[in-house]
Amino acid sequence: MLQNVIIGQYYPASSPLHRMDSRSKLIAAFFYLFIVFLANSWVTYGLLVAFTAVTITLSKVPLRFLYKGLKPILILVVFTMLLHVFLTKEGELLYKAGFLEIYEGGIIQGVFIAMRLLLLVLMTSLLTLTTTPIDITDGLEHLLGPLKKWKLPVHEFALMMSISLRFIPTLLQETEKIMKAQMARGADFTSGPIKERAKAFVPLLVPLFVSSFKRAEELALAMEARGYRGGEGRTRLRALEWHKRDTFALLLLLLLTASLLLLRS
Amino acid sequence: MENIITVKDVTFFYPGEEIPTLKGVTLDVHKGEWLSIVGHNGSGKSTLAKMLNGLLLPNEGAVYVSSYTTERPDDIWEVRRQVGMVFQNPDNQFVGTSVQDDIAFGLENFGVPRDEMVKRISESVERVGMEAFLNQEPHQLSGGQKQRVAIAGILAQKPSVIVLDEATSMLDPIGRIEVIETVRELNQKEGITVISITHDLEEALSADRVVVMKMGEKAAEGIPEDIFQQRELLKSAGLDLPFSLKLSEALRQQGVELDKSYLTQEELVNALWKLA
Amino acid sequence: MQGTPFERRALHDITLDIGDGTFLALIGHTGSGKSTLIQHFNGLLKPSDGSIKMGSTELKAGGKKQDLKPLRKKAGIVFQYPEHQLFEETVEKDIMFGPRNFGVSEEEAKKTASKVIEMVGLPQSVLTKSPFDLSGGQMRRVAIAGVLAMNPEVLILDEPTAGLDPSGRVEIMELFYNLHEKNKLTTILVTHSMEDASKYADEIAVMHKGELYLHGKPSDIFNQRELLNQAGLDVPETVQFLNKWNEVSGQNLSLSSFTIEELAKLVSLSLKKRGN
Repeated sequence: MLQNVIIGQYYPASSPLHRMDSRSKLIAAFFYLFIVFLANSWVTYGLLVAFTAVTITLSKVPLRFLYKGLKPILILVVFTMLLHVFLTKEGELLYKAGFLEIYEGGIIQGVFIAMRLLLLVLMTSLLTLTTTPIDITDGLEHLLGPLKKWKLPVHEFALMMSISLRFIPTLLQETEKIMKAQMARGADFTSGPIKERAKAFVPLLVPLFVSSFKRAEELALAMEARGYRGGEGRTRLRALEWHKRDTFALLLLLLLTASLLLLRS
Repeated sequence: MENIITVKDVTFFYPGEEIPTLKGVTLDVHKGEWLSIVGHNGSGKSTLAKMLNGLLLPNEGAVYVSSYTTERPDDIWEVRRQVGMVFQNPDNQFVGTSVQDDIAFGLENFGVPRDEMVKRISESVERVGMEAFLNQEPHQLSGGQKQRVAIAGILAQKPSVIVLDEATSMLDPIGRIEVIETVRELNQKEGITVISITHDLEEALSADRVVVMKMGEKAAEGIPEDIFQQRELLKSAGLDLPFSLKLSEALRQQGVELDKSYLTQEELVNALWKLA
Repeated sequence: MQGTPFERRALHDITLDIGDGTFLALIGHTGSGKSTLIQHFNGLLKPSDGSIKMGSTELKAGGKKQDLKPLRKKAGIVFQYPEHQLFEETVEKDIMFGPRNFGVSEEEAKKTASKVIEMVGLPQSVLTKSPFDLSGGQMRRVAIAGVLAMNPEVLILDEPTAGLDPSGRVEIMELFYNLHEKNKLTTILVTHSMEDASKYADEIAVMHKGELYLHGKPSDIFNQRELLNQAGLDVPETVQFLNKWNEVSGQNLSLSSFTIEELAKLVSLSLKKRGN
């Protein structure tokens, strides 16, 4: 179940979208979140769908993979759609059975909302599917860089993110190890009533906390030994490279926005 | 002989403790040597190691690294660049998300320009034999490989001294050999000074000099051949005796007239053959 | 993981009988499959094919979900760095965790705790302390006590001395060996150390690339030095030395208990014979 959710997952491939600068992708995804709300007619929605379809094709992420990832969200989409279908009372009355009334406007509204949700989820998924978490972190650090002037700890935040990313697999391994050790002592993590099961996790969580604190302490010492003294005067190995395609992508997005503004009713 | 590090009358208390962890320790580290520091847990050997790059500062006395000292706050960064440290737990010193990011970490801290960084990374990763792993993530590496990456990270900073703080104690035998061989080559071919805090007998035996720490004091200092003759001293330092030494003693108890205790199997076999 | 790209066969076609009361040493390098194998012994992992029988309990491949508790109670595992599994407020509560899970009454579990704490060589006063206030060595002993408290018939030890200094290693191994003898346990020791295997084990099983590579009495195993070398292992130092001595003196001596004392006797006897 958990491994099926694709938001936040990375799909390794070599595509034009993968090669884009994480900054342009972040800007684009953020921008897209707003312009989706501009659409309000078949033409404008059609335009958005076409744009998204092209982006998906360019990303080389297989449709099957996307579909599998969207499945858990589909329920939410269908539910929102039905809510609108039944509650919007506009246009021609199409069907009536007891208190249930379905209007033409309701159907249109339902389809639009469903599309809006799907498009939002698809585009944000594409961002993480084509950008490694560490690239996203780098991109964020650069984009938020100007905020340093107002004493916002942008560098510290980015370093924290990248260290967390680095330690996720380590902590997963550790979790498995401690779980096994407690199971060997007769602990049961999988059965019993909810309340009992929550309690059963104490023998897992306490050792995990203890070791995480120890790791943090040792890591801090190791960082200090390697000359770490905050973000001041630091250079970076990971360089972000802004190419023509990034400018082009953003221009395309502006063009899309202009068209939406012109064509919306 | 030229000294690269001088520890002078260093006394150190951990905050809130009455008994000093280090008591008037004086120590010269010669340029280009392999110095092993051995001692029981709590003998102060790891504390001493952390004095050498200013991670801890002495309450009394001073530590000098070439012309710098950890006393002066302005010198600390240069001291840390020159004295690289490999810690015990391979996981808890791997900062980067990949091998090259981790090697870069130190260089980034010292503000090395990117072009220079790329050059130094590829150079140092080759010196530890990890060039095929540049883009690997830490959880894909063995303990020994992670320690070699840590060494590469230090090499990239062009250090003069590498301190191994029990750097092999969590490794399996293969990983241990990997790391020691790597450091030995750097010591012999490039003249990098090595200070190794260790429990490993073989490692201490092959050092140029050995320092024995006991209750925060320097209990002995000398070449392995002399240090390893002092049975009681080694035992009190929590160190095992080398196999050949133990066998030499057992043979003497059996009435075999050996002139002395031998440190290697070859020497002992030859000595016995002469008796036959 | 079957049928996914992550599938990797960690063990292949292993048939191994371990007699009641045996001290078996399981040797092999990291990735040889020894840790995977022992996790099958108490059902932490289930075989994809084949079965594991422990006394009257059997764990079969593909079988229905079975109650693993009887198996887990019978076979206690001391994992690598077992001190990482401590979690309770007091040592006593932590030791009681295992017995309580297996349905032992609180009162009974308390009695057990005070019994096993002595078995691991710690004073009763430790019981009321927090495990996190103890030294590393003491924490390891408490964790071992927590496994002993389940009163297992089979004790599985996964590198129980990893990360300890030489004297600590000897103490812990002696502790297990005494328990094995006194309580008539079946003991399975996973180790990298041929020295420990030769010192304590009745039988040695060598794992290599997921297969059972060699299995037999120590003397049989150590006769096959070339095969051991091919698996990246070597015979213990006593055997290495005797081989050297045999080579120089043209004799064909052999050891039975692999201790230094035995070796010294053997060599001094052979010297005396030559002298006559």
